[in-house]
Amino acid sequence: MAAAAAEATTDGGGKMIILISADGKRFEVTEAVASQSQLISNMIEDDCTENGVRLPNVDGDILTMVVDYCNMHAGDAAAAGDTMKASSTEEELKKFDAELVQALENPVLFKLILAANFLNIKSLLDMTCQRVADMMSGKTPEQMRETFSIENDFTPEEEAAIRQENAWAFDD
Amino acid sequence: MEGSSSNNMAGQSLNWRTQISQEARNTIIEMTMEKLLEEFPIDFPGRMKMIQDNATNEEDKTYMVATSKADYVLRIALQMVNSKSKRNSNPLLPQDSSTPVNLQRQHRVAGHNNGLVIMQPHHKQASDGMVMTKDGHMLDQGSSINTRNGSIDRISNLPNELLYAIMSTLPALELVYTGMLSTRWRHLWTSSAYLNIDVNQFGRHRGQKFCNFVNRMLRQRGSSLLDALRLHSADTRDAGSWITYAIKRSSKVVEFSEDIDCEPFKLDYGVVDFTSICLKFLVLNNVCIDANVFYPINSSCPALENLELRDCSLENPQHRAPMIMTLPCLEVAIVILDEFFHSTDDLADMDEGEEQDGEEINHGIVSGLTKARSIELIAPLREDKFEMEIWTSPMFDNLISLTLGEWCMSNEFSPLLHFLWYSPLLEDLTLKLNMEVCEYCLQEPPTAPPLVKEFTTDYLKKITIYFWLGDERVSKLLTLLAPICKSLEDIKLIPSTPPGVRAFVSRVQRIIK
Repeated sequence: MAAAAAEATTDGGGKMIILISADGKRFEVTEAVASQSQLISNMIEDDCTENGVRLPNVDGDILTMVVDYCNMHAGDAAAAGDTMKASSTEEELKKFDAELVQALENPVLFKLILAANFLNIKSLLDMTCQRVADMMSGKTPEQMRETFSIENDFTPEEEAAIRQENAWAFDD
Repeated sequence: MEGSSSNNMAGQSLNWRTQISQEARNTIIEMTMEKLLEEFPIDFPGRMKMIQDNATNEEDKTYMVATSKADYVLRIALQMVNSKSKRNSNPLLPQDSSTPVNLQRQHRVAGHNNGLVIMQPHHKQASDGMVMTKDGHMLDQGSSINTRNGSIDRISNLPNELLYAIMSTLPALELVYTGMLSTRWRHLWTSSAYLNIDVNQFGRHRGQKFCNFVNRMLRQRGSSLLDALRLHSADTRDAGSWITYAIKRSSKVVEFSEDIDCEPFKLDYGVVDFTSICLKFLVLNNVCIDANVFYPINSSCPALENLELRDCSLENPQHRAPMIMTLPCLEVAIVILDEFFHSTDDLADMDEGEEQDGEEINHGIVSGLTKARSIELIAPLREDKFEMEIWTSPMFDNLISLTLGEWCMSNEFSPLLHFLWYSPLLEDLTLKLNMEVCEYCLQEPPTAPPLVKEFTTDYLKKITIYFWLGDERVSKLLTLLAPICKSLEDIKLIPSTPPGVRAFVSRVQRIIK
């Protein structure tokens, strides 16, 4: 593996890390940005990032979103760091998050959840899981199945029994 | 906090990592490769490279994730076993349609026809990177085909831990509904550790319907442990037993609020037993607390970090508590009292009672808070009870941020001075003088007392004062505080127009028009 590109540094002085997606796309990010991922943060601590970090179960498209998110949020994670370019204001962040979340649909939403979980980025995981919960809120079981293409695999008898058993949960 | 604890863990784990030689690791990688070669007998371009990368990544990840040498060994061993057992569902091998696992669920079998490997949640530890299609592309775990309309049911294929994460913020009604989605979801919700119950979800069915729902839901959950109960209730005595349910199931967070349109929820002795070694975060809103309930909070919740009593009232104890304990882990305390109630017997002759027994009443609130880093104590009226307590309180050793209501100015500022004197680390002081104008305080504006002991605060940097326009006490306050605060950097005065005056102003404006 080429060790050439991996040790680059920015003018700001922050060490750069290369992330490599499942389909071989490469992303160069600062340590501060990457270490929002607890997984990568641990790897940085253990000095295992020299040859780039391979993320065999994160697609390039998804990793692009994750890197965007981390770039945007690097400000609050590395508040102490002096090299951050004008860290985003809270309002900008909120707007960015809201837009990101709104734009998320099946199947990207679930890929992003899995990526956030694998990379261990808690804030992104919370946000995406919240989005799914919001999509379920106010819906009946039928509507939930519709939204997420969940197949009803109960037999009619089972379903009737469950209905009966859960009658207390429904209106009137 | 989270970050630092995991840093510590990483620090401890470094030692065992050095004990595993690179040679040993290489051997493990080779072993993994052999296994993978067995699993992918059909050659395709880039096969060797892929297998090598996968084996290296696998080992590296395990090395990274494992918390100890034993854990590392166990994980590696599990991987070997798992990759073997996965062979049954490997699309690169001839299909064995009689494999029972594959027949369990119709829609999962359907996935196989499309050349997808389904990773079931209990296979999660197996190599994440090894899910592939025939053309060698990796797929994420959550892929199965819903036969009905051909779209992918990604949610049901998430591992349980992620479904629990999603369920953690679901309102109670939808949480229960998930149990009706499919067999995969059938009983999951009963072990979700978060309950968000809001009476407003039940619209016109508040009352009996709401009670029945929560009671049935808790019965179905049975003894599953809880992490958090967030309960917004209205007009039901059952709420007490629901809080008790949460405490008994080791809930770390209990947030209870009684609807603001209802009478304060009466938390009498015996309604809730707060004794818990798990409780970290307790919020009570619009609750009338019997002092006999409060003592257990003070003495039996050693893990409590965050205590918030908002719009609460306290009833006087029938008898004095034997001992007042300090909450040892407390970080943040917010006590916003609505008004002080006396026990019902005393209500009739409240004034006399105050005169006679005043000296003996001690709620033990303030003394319980002495370890906190941040305290907010607000009481709208002149408040003797806080005042009396602070005389008996020891140092506020950790206190950095303090917010006080106007009660602190009574008795010639003595409560305020007391806090300043006994809080050596205080940095940030906020005074809210505009909560509700206290007739007594306005009539007799306190005069700055001669300081008994001369002292200065070394760390106090910032003072913020909220007040109604025209409040003369502010200038007095400043005269008092200025000489004491050695390192003061910032005083913010935030005036607002009193509501009475505001109405008057708009009336005058209307007349002028």
